[in-house]
Amino acid sequence: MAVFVFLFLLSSLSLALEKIFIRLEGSYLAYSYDLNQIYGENVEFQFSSYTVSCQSIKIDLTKKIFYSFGNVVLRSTDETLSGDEFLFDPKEKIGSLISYKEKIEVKDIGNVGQKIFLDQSQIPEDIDLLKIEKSFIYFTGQIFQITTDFDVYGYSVTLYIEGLEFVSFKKFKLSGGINQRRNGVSLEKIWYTKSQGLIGRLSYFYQKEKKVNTLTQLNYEEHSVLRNYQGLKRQADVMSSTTINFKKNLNLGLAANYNSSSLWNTNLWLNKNWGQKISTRADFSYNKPLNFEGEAWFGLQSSINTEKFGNISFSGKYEIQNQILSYFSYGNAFLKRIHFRLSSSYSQVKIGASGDYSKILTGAMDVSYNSRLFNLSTDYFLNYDLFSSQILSQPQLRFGLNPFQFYGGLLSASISNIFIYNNLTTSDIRQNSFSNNLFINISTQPISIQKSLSLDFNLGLEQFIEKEGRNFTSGGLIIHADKNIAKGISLLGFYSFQSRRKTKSWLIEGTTSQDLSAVFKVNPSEKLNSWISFSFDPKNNQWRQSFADLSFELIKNWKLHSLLNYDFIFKKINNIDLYLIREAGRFQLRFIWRSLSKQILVELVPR
Amino acid sequence: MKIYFFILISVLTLILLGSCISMKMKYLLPSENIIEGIYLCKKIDESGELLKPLEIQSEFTSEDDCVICFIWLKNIYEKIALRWKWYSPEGNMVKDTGNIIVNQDRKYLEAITAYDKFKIIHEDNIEGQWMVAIFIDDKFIGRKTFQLRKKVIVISFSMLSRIMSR
Repeated sequence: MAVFVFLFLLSSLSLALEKIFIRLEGSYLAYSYDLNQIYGENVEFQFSSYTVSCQSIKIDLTKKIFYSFGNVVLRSTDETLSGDEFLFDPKEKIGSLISYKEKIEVKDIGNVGQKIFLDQSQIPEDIDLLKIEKSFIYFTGQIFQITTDFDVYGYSVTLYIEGLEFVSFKKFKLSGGINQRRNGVSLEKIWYTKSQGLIGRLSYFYQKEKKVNTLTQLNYEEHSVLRNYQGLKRQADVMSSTTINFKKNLNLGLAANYNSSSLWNTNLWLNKNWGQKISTRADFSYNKPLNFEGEAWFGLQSSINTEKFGNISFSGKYEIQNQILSYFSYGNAFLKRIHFRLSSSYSQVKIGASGDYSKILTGAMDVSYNSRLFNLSTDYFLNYDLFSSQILSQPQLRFGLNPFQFYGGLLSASISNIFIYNNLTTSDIRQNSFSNNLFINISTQPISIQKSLSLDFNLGLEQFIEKEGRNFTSGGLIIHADKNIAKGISLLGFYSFQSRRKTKSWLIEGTTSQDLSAVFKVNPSEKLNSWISFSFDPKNNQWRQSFADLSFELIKNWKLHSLLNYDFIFKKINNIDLYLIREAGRFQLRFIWRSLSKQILVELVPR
Repeated sequence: MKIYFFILISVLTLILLGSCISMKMKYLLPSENIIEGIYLCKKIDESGELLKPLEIQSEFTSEDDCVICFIWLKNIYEKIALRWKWYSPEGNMVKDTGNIIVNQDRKYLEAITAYDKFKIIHEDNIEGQWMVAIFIDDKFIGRKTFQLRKKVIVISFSMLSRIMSR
């Protein structure tokens, strides 16, 4: 209990410590939660040593754009400046005051030597009051405060939901929900569930721009509050990750995880880039699994990009119990069209607690040639198991003709072939096998039969041969028809015929399948989108399934979406999903009903 | 244990609600001169009761006659003065309409549409980003920028060979 109260107070304290960097006072201020934007009228605020007043202000907190305009006046003890527009950055304390006179006059305000980037994209044209008032959630008030983390607090604010006045607050965090971490300790979660008991999550975050970044999280579960809980009474997890950037090309990282069941691991690494071509990483990791001895690994990896002479990368890891992992690869391109790659790895890993080691050496090499007409590649793969004296070698040869067109581009064809040879040698036996797979595909461009009807065909053929004689030939035909009935209304038809014939000596056996399906689409406008599909099996003269999808806009940004699936074979509706969706800028609100699980779900989905 | 939780959560909820939520606040209204939109376009549809912008765009060429800056205002009760100022890429003012008085009779007007035409000068140095600033009662209300490009005539090889053979 005491822990709970302490954590709660700690979380309140972290909010109170947030720094306010701009306070807006106006005759009318509106904040859209959906869009994360502010619009204000007759506004006054402090900027550097000036008190700024303006007729209107527009702020986009996501893009970090601050723009005030209309009779802008900047007053300080020394001077009074006026202009038509004031574009500013309250964090850097720089701004540009613009006046439209005989010439466009731009005066830089704030930190000497720094200039705000003046660009049309900086003018938030898309912010307007009408848009904010159409938001699902928006607030109005006369005093807003923006913190250094771009959170917005409002004083004496009124909440509007879907344009209707809902409730008022003396002080309220308007931007609540944006998950931005701020330096310090924060209580992220205190919750109770019947399955996990009391759950708490506490985190510590510290960031020093471009220098240090650290995050530590504590997850705590108290199970003793649950009746009849079989497992541990309580459980804690600590996860920590820190990176320190010494220089642009040198950084150090430390990650550690600990579980109260005495499971833990840690990883320390150092990254160094030697120019743009060479990078190196040295690391140490220790992993303590449950009921096993811990493992301490030292590793080094590097990659060298020599451009002309190819790319080399290698890595090596050594564990103090004599475990080894190593990898090497080299790749290069010759004469633009020839690609070469060579790789090898060796692993020596302990097998359980037996004291034996599995030792595996692998090697691979591939050479490929790509031309405009064809591509040819050859691979060789070797796996040598030194522990059980077993060698697997597998050469492959691939050849393909790139898709080529004929009959004036009406027909397109492609051919490819893969040959694989396997050789397995153990201390007792030697086994050989091979297989060859040939694919041929011919397709047509859509052929216009009538003004509103087009057809296209796709024909495929595959021949598979192997040493064991399980050979087969398969072929298929797909016909696709597209008929436009009226504007936004169309009917699509598919017919597919697939056949597979198995040949072994004198025996020929096989299967055929057919599918006929149709989709009727109705999309007369952006507001209505629907389709219904039916599938039919001509071979068995049987209707199979039907799917229907209907989506249309109701009012404002509300949309109704329904999905239905009917099974003709079992003569029942498999599922109906109904969605009521509100598009609201950076989130989507969904009310879902699923007939299958008989559930009503309410989802708030960030976008 | 459970009763302690209930009491704690109830107290915290009451504190939160008591300190944050207020049932009555001052009803705020934004100013009435709401700008419905500012658009740059090539043509105006004058057939209806209200004018409508046609061919809205932000890029124009030397072949276009003019650039139109169209403004749509809502809920006007008072007499207002509209003004457009046009600026070249160098930032020099090239046109100022002066104040154009609208709604002299101070009637309630649900909507007002108005525009100003900027005739494109056919000179060599017209390329670049131009701008128009709009004012109501001498208060800046918005601006629009547009690109002006020279129209480049592309002669295809076949056309060129025909011209040469003549």
